[in-house]
Amino acid sequence: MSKKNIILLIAVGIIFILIPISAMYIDWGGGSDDAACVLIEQISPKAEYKPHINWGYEPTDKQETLLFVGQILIGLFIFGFSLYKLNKINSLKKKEKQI
Amino acid sequence: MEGYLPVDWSIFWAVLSLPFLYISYRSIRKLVAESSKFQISLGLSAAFVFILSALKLPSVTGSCSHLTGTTLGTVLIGPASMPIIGFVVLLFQALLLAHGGISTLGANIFSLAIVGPFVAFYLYKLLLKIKLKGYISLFIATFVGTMATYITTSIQLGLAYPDPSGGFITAAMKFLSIFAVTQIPLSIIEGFITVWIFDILRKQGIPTLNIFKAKKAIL
Repeated sequence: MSKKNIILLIAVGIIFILIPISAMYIDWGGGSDDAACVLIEQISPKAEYKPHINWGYEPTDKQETLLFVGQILIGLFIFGFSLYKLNKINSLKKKEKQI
Repeated sequence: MEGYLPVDWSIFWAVLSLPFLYISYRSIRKLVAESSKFQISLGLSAAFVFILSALKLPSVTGSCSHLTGTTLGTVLIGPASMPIIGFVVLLFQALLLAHGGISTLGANIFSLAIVGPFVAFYLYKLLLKIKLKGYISLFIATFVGTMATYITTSIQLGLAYPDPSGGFITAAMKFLSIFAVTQIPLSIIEGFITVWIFDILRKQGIPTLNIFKAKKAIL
């Protein structure tokens, strides 16, 4: 894999981690899912909206951000590992061809 | 969101998603048995959904939404393999992040990991058939696939909450106006990321599905 691509991939990975962290300091606006909930309450205002399945746990905004970062990190780790393995198989094949 | 989908609809979408989860389990087992290289594809596909679905991006409309990340996996391991990946990601977010909801899992799997991937897959096949360039086809397929996920969500909500005066269609259009406007710029971004990553993986010799092998000019 070219050096340029590796650097680009790492740079994009870092940006991905920084996006949720930046939301802690900059207000990017509410989620479209929350907007949909507001609309539901408008259409059928009588109903009361309580969780059907109460997991009994709701992370704070800060915890939620960290968990999202965690999810991205897990993803990046698996992605990087898979790409490394693919690269290894690839270079082995190239060597075989040369011999 | 948890609690916002009535119980009967939650059960309906869960039951509808179940057979797809079984097909997905069979499909993944078959692929992994076929070639160990597909384990790598599987890892990359799952990781991609994990990363992109966690990204809550601000859009031009002043509200945020998530990417889906399902199209890369759709072209690498096929749409039939995607429901389980979607299930794992959604379960992770529902349990740990209290995001998306537990009773809504079935509905979310249906929109994210069934409709999105299948729409993207058949559109991609069609576009390659009419000899459109590979990367343009993939870009369009990703864009439409992501939009299809959110259109499905709008329809699901419209069915559950029909508008008192205009009925189901009016309600679905109202929900769509919330999601679609936010999602259009994000789907374009997702299209670029997917094409870029797919290009890198192709150059690394990632195996693709047999149906695409016959078509030499993928990129």
